[in-house]
Amino acid sequence: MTDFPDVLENPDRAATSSGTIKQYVTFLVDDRSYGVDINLVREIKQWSPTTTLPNQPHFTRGVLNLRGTIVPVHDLRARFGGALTEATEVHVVVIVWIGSKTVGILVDAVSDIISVPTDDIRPVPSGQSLGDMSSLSGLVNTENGMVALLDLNTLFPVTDDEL
Amino acid sequence: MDDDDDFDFQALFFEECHELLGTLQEHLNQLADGTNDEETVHAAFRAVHSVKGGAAAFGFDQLISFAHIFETVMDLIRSDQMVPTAEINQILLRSGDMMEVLIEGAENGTPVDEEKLDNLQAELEHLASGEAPAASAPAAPVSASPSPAGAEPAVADGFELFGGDDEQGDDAGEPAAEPETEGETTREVTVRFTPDADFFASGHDPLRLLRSAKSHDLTSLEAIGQVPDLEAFDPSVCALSFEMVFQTAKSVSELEEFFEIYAHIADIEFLADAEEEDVSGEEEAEPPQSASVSPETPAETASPDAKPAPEATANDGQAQAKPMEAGKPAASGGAKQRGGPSKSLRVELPRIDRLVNLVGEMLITQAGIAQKLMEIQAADSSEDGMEMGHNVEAMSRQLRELQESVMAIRAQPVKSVFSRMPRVVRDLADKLGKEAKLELSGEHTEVDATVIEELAEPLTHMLRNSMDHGLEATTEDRIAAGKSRVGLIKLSAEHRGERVIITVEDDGRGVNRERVLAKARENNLISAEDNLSPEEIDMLIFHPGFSTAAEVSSVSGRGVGMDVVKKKIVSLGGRCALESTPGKGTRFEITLPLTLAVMDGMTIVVGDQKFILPLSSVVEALHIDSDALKHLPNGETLLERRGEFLRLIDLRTVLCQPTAGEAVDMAIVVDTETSGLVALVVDELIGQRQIVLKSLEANFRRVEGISGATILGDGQVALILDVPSLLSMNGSGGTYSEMMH
Repeated sequence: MTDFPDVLENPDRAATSSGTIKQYVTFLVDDRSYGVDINLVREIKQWSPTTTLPNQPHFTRGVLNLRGTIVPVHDLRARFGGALTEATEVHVVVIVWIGSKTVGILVDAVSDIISVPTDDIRPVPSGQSLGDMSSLSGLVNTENGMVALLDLNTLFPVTDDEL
Repeated sequence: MDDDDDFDFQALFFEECHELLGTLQEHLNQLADGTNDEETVHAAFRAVHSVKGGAAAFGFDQLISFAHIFETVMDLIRSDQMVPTAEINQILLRSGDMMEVLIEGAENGTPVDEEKLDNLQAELEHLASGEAPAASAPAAPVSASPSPAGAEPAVADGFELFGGDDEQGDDAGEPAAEPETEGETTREVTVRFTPDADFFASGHDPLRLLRSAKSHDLTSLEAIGQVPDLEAFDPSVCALSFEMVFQTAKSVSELEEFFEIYAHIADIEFLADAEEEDVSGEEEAEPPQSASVSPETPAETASPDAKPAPEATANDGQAQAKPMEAGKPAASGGAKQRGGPSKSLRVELPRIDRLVNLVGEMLITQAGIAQKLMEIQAADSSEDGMEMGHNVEAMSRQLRELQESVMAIRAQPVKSVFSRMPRVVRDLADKLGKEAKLELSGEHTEVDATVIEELAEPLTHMLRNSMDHGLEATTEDRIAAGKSRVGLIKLSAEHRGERVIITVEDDGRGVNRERVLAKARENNLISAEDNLSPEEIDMLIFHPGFSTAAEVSSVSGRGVGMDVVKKKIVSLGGRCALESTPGKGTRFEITLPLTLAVMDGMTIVVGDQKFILPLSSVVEALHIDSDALKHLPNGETLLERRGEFLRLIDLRTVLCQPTAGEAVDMAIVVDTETSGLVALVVDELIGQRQIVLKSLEANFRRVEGISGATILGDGQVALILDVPSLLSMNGSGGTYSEMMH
């Protein structure tokens, strides 16, 4: 976790390194690893209590103040059908860009940054009783096990459906 | 790259157009009101001319030809060859509207009513041909004979003729130096022409350009730069630029027109001119033209000597040309216009918004520091703490001042919205076949830009309502009621404390209470036994789905009107009021905060969270006496307050907050505007504070019942409650509250 800031400050390095290698920030929820394209990660912050919204989706934890902007925080465990995370100070909120919006994702811990040749990304098997897998964009095998790459747009759609 | 440039200029052009048309409308209105002063005519003429110039650069043909004929007519008036009668003024006003339609068409591709355009154009042509519209005999004052003969050449050769003297007109603030004298003198204009890299590639030929420049009195030519050596020579690029000196009697704008066609493919720079004043005057008066010709030219407008000069000329010109005019208003008006641009700065709104936001942040941080300091002081009352307290206090004052100054940047006169309204009224007058006149006052009242943007829609609705329902159905009705033929609608704005008050007042028939009552009963809005005071009846028209128009007209639709206005105003943190005198007229008054970025709120605690209620809606806070509670069979609870019953809403249920804990006895009475007063049960009332509004939509989405959020001193987010929408959630969603239990 210590070398994060360094990499985060130079996302370009990752992007320009090559068209065939992509970098992902991986994090843990219940010992399962998930990855998000490093270019979409804006920052990582410690969990702090949020303000709940009336009628919020079951996986939404409310909103928090990110230096003056109001950012919603979603619970990744709850989004994948688990219980709401009992968030403590060791839990982490990964702030990501989804389209033009800034969104926080509550996870258990951030684990690594991995560089993955795009050829190594395996498609998610479909048609099985795995539940809703459309929110994953691919799977990668690493030394520390499989990482599921998240498709944030499908996971937390941000299109405004005006009422 | 060229495309980008074009695009930018085009956007700039439209922006300028909207401004120019605003000016045009204003001046035309003044003309119609009988202010036939010279500067007004000139200003209107200049506006039309500038739009035409800009349009020509982009090839908006419809707009050009219409502006051209419009300009011709304006020129006739300007040169006293035509006296603007009421009929002519009407045509001019409509032409102004049409210009707007055409520009909107060019900008957004919205369709233009061709028939209307043709008719109007024909009318203008008719005018231009020197025939005043029938009936009204022009009561020609001192003016030169309005003979058709005198007018003819102007029409035949409109472009050229103006060229000569619009120079004078454009020399802002300088009403009229006589065209003749200026026409004779020749002066030297130097133009530097630097072709872009793809000048040749797009088929242009410098030789052809220079040949045709001859007809514009090109006297000398110098090629600047050097053709590179043969190895480095690129035949497809023009390595030279040209400095052309014109010895011409023609105006700069004519030369500009000539160069306009190259503007997108070359750099055209108007260099020092023998009569500098002319150039700068030209530039300043016609921003779209100069902008479209060359991005460099605006730099010249900054010429420091430009400012004092025109005032002098203004007075001279005034004295010579038009002894009959009262010199003062025109001269001062001109000077003001002249002084304006150099002292103001055009800044994109987002930049200012960022500043406003930052100041908001600082206020929050400051509140946090102050709070912390209080805690520290409470624990340890040392000297240092005291001094620190003074410092923090001073900072808070400075911050508040900073905030006010920043907000002042965004403050705009409501004029930008008001000036669109005469057109609305004219359009409606046509549609409804009514005669109406709109009187504006207090247009200079300043309100935050965020409010101004939101104002146009409710104002339009209110004017529609006044036109359709307020004014008598026919002119005969008005005459029978002993009123003047033309209905009068007054639109005004004024400051009152921290709020702005906008009134729309008509002198029509007033609210027809019997009909409102009948309609309300018919729609079961009230029961037959309800005994309403006249005021209460009047307020019914704000009820959703209410329209008394016997038949649905295209103007005020099916009761979509006043309730929309009310909703909008309430959502902006404002209030509506209505006052009607049968037979005399109706007066709507809306009160709005001066800004939407900051508002006064009441902080309350519900469950374990803090919420904000807009202070504008809070009526009172009271303790709930269990005797005062009444339960309805449907489970609703009512609270008796001084003999009247209010709906009692438990916010914990509505906001899905835990209901655990002891029963609370605190309620806040809130005026929802749409459904009267309600009492909200809250756990705690913390107090009143200024809050900086933040949007939830920016990163999330609209949340029903919540109008926005703010950040408290401790960095936590607090939601701002939208009580009316909370209530409708509660009302429609029995399912909702069940779900939560």
